[in-house]
Amino acid sequence: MRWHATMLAVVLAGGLVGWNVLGLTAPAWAGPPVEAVRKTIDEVIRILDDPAWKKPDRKEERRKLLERTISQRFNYPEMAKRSLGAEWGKHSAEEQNDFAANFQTLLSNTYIGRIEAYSGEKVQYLKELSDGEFAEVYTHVDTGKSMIDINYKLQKISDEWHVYDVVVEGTSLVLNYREQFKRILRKDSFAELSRQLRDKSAHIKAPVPDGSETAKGR
Amino acid sequence: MKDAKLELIVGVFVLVGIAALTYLAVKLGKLEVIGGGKNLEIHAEFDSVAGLKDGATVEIAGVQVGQVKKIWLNGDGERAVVSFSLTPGVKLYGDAIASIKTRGLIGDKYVSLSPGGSQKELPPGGKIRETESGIDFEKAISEFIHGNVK
Repeated sequence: MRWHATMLAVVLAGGLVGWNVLGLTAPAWAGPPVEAVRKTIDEVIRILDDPAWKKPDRKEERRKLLERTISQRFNYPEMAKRSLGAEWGKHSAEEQNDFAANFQTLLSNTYIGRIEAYSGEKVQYLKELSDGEFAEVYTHVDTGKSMIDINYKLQKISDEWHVYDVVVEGTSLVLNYREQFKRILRKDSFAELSRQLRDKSAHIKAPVPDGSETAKGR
Repeated sequence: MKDAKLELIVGVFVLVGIAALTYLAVKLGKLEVIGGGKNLEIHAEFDSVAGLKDGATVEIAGVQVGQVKKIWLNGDGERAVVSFSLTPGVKLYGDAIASIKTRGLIGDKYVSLSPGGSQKELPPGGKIRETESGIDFEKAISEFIHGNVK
């Protein structure tokens, strides 16, 4: 009898751990930064999994909804500012806003196609490091073939956590763009950089997937 | 009289020799005996500093601006803390990024800094919040050779 109780406890504990690892419930250590990231990721997955949104005539609408959901969590102006480094301060508020908008379009067009190709990958929340108004959330994405480490860097602005950098497999998105922008600005003007961002965004814009959405490009 | 003069010359020669040796030891050992106090001390936390050693160079745009002073584990014993000593005049800001890079594919590890440009300048003793541990080539190669579990 006692043996059975022990076994039951082990199975239950194992089940709970498995449940947590799959990211299905909030782990006990999860603080507000993890909850913020989880809320957005869960919402994105819910939209992607919803059969109502999979209808071909609603794909364009779904893409807009996804972009809106993501932009509520991602602080694009801060990402643009950090990516531009010292150059940011040299420009007027209008130029900064224009640049941030172009940068948002570029990021959105770069990643939205990959997000739409989602096919049940599991997100695991590993740990959270917080330091005052800054935090880093460590996650693993299990694609079925490989595990990808993705860390989200967040900043608390008026009681809400916003992502300002994403570190994929140890490489920072902000640093990647900062080095590219620096290289372009060494040769060309800021206006030219803005123009290049616009051109690139238009060029890479992924076509809205049609009804016969398959595993292509995954 | 002649002996005294000779002894003096030998004495001076020995002193000059010792001074030269001391200078060489300080230079080769990259110790900071003179002017070390004026350097700017900054630290940063990394997920992993595998391969980085004390005395490794710290660079901005490929120019050496300092060196790694000390590496230790943080309070939780999970992340590595690296302290750098930077030459005076180097300006870093709140959004500065420190990344660990490898010279070539199998070369030495060094720290590359991107100074950033937010309004807040990093004070002496400050901490670089944004860090990048870099891609683990060994892990990538090992996964490539031995294959993944899945």
